[in-house]
Amino acid sequence: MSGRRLPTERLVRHVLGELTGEERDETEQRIADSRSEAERAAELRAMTEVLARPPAWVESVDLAGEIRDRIARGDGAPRTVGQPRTVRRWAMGGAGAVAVAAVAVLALGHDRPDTDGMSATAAERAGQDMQGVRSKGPGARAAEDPDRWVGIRLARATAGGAAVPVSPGDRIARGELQVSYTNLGPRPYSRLMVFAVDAAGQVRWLYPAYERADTDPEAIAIEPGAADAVLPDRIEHEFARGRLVVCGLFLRRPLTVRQVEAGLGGRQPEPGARLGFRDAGQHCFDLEAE
Amino acid sequence: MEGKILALVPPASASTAGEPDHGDDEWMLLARHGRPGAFDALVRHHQGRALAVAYRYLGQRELAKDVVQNTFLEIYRRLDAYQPHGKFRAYFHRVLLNQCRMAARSRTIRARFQERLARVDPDDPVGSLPDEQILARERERRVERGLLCLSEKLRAVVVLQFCGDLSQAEIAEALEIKVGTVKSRLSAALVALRAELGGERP
Repeated sequence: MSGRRLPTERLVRHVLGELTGEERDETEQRIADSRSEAERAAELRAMTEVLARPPAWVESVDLAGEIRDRIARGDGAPRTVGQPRTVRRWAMGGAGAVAVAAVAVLALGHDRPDTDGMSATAAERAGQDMQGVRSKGPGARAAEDPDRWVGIRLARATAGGAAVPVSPGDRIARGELQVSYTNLGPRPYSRLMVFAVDAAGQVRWLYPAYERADTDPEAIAIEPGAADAVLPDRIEHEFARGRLVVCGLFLRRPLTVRQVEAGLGGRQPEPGARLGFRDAGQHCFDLEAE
Repeated sequence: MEGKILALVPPASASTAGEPDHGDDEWMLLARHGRPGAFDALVRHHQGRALAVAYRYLGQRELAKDVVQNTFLEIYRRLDAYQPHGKFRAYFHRVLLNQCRMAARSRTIRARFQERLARVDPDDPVGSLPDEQILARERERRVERGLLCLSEKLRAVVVLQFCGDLSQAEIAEALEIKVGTVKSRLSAALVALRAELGGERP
């Protein structure tokens, strides 16, 4: 090699740190011995440094707001979720109504009044800003938030068989409901109850199934670490017209339907209110039943 | 997930090249479930690098902003389909490059591309800068112009490596090619770029 210029390709590989062994030693020696080779290597390094340096203007750009606005204007396409496996006809709650509800809700947001709101339509999602985000850190409130890692989604079946998510705040009509849940975090829960409280104060149970008034079923078992796990049934339901509060209650020990109904006291949970069950995570959101 | 606390505000050490970034996966999951602010956090975490990649690839600032916005919207549309396997960066840059390619294919854009090669970017006046900064900016422009002369395949590897700060494994994943191909393209790209710069100091 000595006496001839190092091939540019060799210098490039040297600058990229891809040379090994003898090849690298020889190249380094040539660079050390020759001013012109040293200059060529320095030029290449300077070129890669320019490439790696972000343009100065980039720092002052924040696209989050514009993206949020575009999503709010409908640029976020509708999504569908997976098919449920069975259909369960439903007739219970405080008042035994059989029905059909076509609902779908997607949300792992939470119903606290301070920052989280009841997000989940594209517009609502987009309308939230970074004030709704809590930072991490030892002792941070986020780490202790029992609701942080949990959520439920509802989906309604369409005539074509697809399951379409419906966002909090949406109007729901008759149809079949499908429920999925997410149970993440450092201390995932082991049990879940999903219910809706309609405008008449009646509790409509989705999980556990509550089909006979002389029974008192308990919370179903759920998987720790599950993200978007679809529960097995499709559930037909009917709700009293008006505001409908849907809740997922995540537990470490099973409660029964009656225990929860007693805890609710025949009232619809207020937006942002805690349900008051000990060591439980919750995700509640509003719908409007037609 | 076990034992890990979610960071919605990106830590300084987040997204180290070559390491799976589970923080991004968690943001994606939370955004999927409508967690307020999660998608904003994702945007703010990645927009800087994304803008650099798009700008170096396309050579136009406003177009780069549009492309990055479109990329995030595309990511948002696909929230439900995303598989959280710790490969968000590769996934994100695959979408970003596709958006860049679509933008570059437009005839109008190509025409502007050629213009860009020939003139100084009017969005970027240098008249009031000190001499050293003017020289540095001029070096940067020469490199930018050189980049635009590379083939799309070579340019993509360069911008992902240097502007996106992706590892070669991530670049391979993003471009759906082998790591060996990434290395050879990268090497070829820098040789070609050096030649485009005519042996002058960049």
